[in-house]
Amino acid sequence: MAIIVNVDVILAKRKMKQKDLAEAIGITVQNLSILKTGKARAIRFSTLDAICKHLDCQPGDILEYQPDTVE
Amino acid sequence: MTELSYLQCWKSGKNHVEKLKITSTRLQIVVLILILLMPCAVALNAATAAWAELLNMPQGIALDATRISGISLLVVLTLGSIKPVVYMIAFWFLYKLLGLYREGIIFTAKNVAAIRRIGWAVASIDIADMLQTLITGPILTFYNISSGYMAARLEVGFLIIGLFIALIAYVMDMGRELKEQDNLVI
Repeated sequence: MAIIVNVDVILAKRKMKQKDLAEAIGITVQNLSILKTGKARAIRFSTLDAICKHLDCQPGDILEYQPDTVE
Repeated sequence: MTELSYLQCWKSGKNHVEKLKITSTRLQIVVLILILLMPCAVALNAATAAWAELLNMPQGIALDATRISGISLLVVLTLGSIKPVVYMIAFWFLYKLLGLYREGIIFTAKNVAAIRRIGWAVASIDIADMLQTLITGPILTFYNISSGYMAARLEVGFLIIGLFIALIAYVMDMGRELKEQDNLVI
């Protein structure tokens, strides 16, 4: 998919564990993992809001658009 | 099962899945008893020589019970078992579905398949009834158990119910897909 989720990059910058973020924003580690691996179909604004709040970042830091390469 | 009794569970407002598990366990026992009763009913009919009831014959058809022995007895029992076997299959699928509920598996492809099978099995009851009525006359005549007769009956009650259950399974499958998609919304 063209949308890349960079939660793991921000987590590494903040030196925060995935488990801690999941607990802080009230989702399961499995769901956070789905988000990280790009398997998620959609993200709720409430989840995005909570992630940005706890990681002190902007939605653009977490989500990145990369056009699909067409040969 | 949990340490909570059925009544305690309902009163305490424990989560719905737990209630479903308890109810399913109890219903499974009832369904199992019904499955076991089917061959007993056939055997009882055979033991009391209630052949007309067993073969689901139309009223007024004479039957020479003295000729029912050996192979013809086997044939009559097979004919009489057609409908009970279909009932047993339907109950068996219901038993399996309740087993899934008991394990807490509710909205999965397995449940959909189980409900769909129940639907087709229930619809088959009328088809089995029609088939049994249709072939009983010629077969009994062939074995000289009955004077030549042929009957046909068209019942659609179970057919409609079965198709409706199959339709519910289809709708449930759509719901399952929606749920799976919803699981990927974080």
